[in-house]
Amino acid sequence: MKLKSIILSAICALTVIAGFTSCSDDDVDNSWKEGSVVDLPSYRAFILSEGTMSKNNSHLFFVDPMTDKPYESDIFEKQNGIKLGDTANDMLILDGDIYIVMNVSKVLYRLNGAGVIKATYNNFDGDGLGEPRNAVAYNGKLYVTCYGGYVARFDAKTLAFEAKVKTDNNPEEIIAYGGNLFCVCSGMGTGNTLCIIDITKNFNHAESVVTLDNPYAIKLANSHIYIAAYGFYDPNTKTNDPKVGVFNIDTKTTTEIAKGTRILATGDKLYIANSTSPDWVNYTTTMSVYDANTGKISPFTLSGKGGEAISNGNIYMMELNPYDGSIYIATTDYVTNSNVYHFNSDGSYIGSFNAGGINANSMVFLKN
Amino acid sequence: MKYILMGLLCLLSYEAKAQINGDSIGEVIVTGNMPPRDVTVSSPTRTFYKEDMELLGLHDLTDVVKKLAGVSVKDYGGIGGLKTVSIRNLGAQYTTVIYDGVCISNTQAGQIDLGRYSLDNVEEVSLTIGQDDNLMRSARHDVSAGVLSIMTERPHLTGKSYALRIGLQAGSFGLLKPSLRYWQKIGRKTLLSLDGTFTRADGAYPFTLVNGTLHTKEKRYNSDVISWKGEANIYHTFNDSSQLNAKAYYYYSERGLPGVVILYSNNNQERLWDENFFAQATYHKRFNQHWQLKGRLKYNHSWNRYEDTNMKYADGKITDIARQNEYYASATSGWQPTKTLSFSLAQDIAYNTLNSNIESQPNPERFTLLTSFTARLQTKRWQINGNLLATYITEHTDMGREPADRKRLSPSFSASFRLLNNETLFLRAMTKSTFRVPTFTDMYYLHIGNSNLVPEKAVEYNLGLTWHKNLAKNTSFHLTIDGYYNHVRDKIVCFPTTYIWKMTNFGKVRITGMDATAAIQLPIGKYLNTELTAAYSLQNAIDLSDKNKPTYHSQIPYTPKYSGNGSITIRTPWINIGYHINFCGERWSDPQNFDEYRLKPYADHNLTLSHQFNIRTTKLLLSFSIQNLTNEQYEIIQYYPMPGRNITASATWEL
Repeated sequence: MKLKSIILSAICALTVIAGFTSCSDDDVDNSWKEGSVVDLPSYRAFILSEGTMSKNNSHLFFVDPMTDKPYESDIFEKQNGIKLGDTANDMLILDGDIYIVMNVSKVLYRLNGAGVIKATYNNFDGDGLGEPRNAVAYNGKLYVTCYGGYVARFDAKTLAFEAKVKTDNNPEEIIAYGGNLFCVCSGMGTGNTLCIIDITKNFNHAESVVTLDNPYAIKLANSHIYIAAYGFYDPNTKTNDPKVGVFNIDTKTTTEIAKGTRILATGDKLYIANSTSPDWVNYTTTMSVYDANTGKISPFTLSGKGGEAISNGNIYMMELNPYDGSIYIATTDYVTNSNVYHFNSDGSYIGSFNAGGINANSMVFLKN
Repeated sequence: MKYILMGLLCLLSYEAKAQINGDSIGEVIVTGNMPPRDVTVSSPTRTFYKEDMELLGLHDLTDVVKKLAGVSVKDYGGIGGLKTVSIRNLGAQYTTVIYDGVCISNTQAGQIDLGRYSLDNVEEVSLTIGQDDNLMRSARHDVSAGVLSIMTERPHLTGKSYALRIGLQAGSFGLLKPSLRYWQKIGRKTLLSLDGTFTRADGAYPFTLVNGTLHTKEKRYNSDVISWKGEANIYHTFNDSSQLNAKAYYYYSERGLPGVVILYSNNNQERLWDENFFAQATYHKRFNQHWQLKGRLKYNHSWNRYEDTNMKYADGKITDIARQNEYYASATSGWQPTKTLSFSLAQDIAYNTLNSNIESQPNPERFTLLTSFTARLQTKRWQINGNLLATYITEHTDMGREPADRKRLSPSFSASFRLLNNETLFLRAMTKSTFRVPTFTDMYYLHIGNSNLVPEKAVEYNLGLTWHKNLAKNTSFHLTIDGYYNHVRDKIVCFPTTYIWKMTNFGKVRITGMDATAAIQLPIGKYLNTELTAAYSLQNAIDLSDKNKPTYHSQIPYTPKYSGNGSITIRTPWINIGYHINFCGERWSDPQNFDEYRLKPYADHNLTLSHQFNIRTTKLLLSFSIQNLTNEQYEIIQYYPMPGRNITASATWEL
């Protein structure tokens, strides 16, 4: 009798356990790696390299963020059997999908979390948009700046082209904040405006305001908006004068805060890299950090072998891992594959790896 | 009777003695085949003649140049595509191109597009690596690492006072090329020649695009070309036997630039218009057996318009217009005090200007003075040449910083030694120092130009062996082998930077290699005459720019480790057959010698059938060629595919 009840209890327990197990299996969503031919971990990073214009040598590499070890070959080509294309300009994450903007190849990709193609759009010329440059996601839509002087709206899932709005010449980076889009317009070296598009009311007008000369980047963190610009080319000195500024959304003015060539915004901080060269071959870089609350700039010291490489290099990318707050900085010499240096948020050196392509410009992080 | 023996050059295999045992005999004329110039000169030289070009179906200058050992041609594909020549991978700017004795210059870009020169009126094409052996050359001949010389056909009229030639060439991809040549004798001492050629082609050839595992059939669009070329020449011999040759040349073209094949987007809309006019005159007078003088004058005007239609430009397109003018004069005096010793002194002066429609771009002007002194010792077995070139360049611009004046002495030395008295076997050595002055584009083009550039410097060394053997009547072979070492520093490269590309001096390259050529002439039976030629090159061109870079010691882009060509021509009374092959080993399109930049080896086979009909006093030459017989898909420049199999048929009627 006693044995009978023990056996019965065991059977009940096993049934309950099996039930829980079944529930756990149902909860695991592996759609992010549907169609993948590579076994990737749930915690992933991808690094995008622009390549050299007109050489079709853009690359997307998977990097394990736990070990900083890149996969042996281009993950896009491995997963899809075709090359990425020419001049990959931007990459972002939305709902676990990866979006890549190909500038010279004029393609917009939506990839799943393993880099397998889910959708593409490649009719930028046919729809009168021009070469795509950068993108931002907002409310299930993708907004892409196009060199024909437009911001185009796409359905983020299907990449169906929906509408476009005219901006100033050659819009570059774009952010979305408070129901508005903000994109800087470089005019290919001759412009100095920022266009503001209210997307809550309609999508047919862009307000133009003056900003820094020849702007190329706009970043958003904690309601702070920052702009980086190369400055106009001076034919007498044969140089540019790159600057970084803070955009005041109320007054719609930009205040210069520092000299800099690359920026990374996070929380209330802005990391500024200023890479300079006397001969376009040898570079030195100084790092600083701007506190948006106090308005103060202080040096940001990077230590170890990575710190030394950064101070003698030319910075092309700065990205933040949102899961652990660490920072990835890529250098370039425009000729050989970029090296990427990994630092903790306090600047202490963790490690480095090869980006797998020339001019690494974007890095994204995913966790499933 | 082909050649008459003169002087004591001892180049023949046979001797004739006029006196035996004190008795005199009548004049004896000894004949034989002179060994090719390629064998006897002290610097590696290769020459192609009109007949060879016709037999092999070589239709434009690029086809000929590709057959020269030690030369690489950057061919961007298609009939209108840019084609530049580089000697031993020193760079296109290190090759001087000579047209009928006077340099063709392009101070804007520094390189000559060979694609615009057809072979319709060309008699001879030769390439010399190092110093040209013509003592009466201009100073400009000595500036570069090598000289590509194009000589047009001089009128030769026998029994008539005029000659007319009408030609028509047609071929794949919409090629149509009518040509006209007229020769006229004017009086006893003057000849006139007029040449005109029109070319049009669609250039829309198919190619296979390989994209990972995807292979697609594509077509090369925006590759059309239309061009006109006219040339007039006057040849006059004065009573004192001095000679004056004058030429006027005009060229105009409009072409599409298909551009690099971009994956997923291939609608390049760049267009290029070119116009070139030049007038040149050369005068040669021999005062006596010791003194002679050669003078040259040239005016050159070129205009080009580049247009790109693209939404990214504020007005939807950009138009760049540039005009170049050159005024050039040269005088060379030659003095031969003894039979073995000779000297020459050449003085050149050139004035170049560039104007463009780009407001921010300066309009530079450049004065160039070149003085070249050559001394030669020529004995039975030795030929020794020494040369010293002095260069002075001063430049002015209407905006921005002017570059410093450039002054340099560039020595060179070459020698050849006949190893055996009764064998045409020579040992030769050459060394030459050259420097390449930055072009106007290098210095001033938009934001890319850098007026602080210093000249690029190169030093060449060559050691070789040449051998020619006459085996029997119309049977001979010759062999040349040259090993070389070149070193380049302060290489001018276009460097990408954070904002723009920038010209800068960066780079050292070490180039070592070997060029070998062989040719056999062999009659087979009564009716067959064959000639076989082969050329093979090995080359290591290593980047030594920066020890800390992963590209240190990599092979520089577009430099194959091995390349070569071969040809067979068979002449019969019924049909002539010409076959030639160009092959090239793997090379890389990038300083990083990775797999993704590797260009696979290729072989390009070509076959030509031709026959000349003699119809009364006229001659009709019909020719049919198949290029790229095996339809191989290959690239010389990555993502600039070359045409697959294509045909050309031509008819030339000489009246």
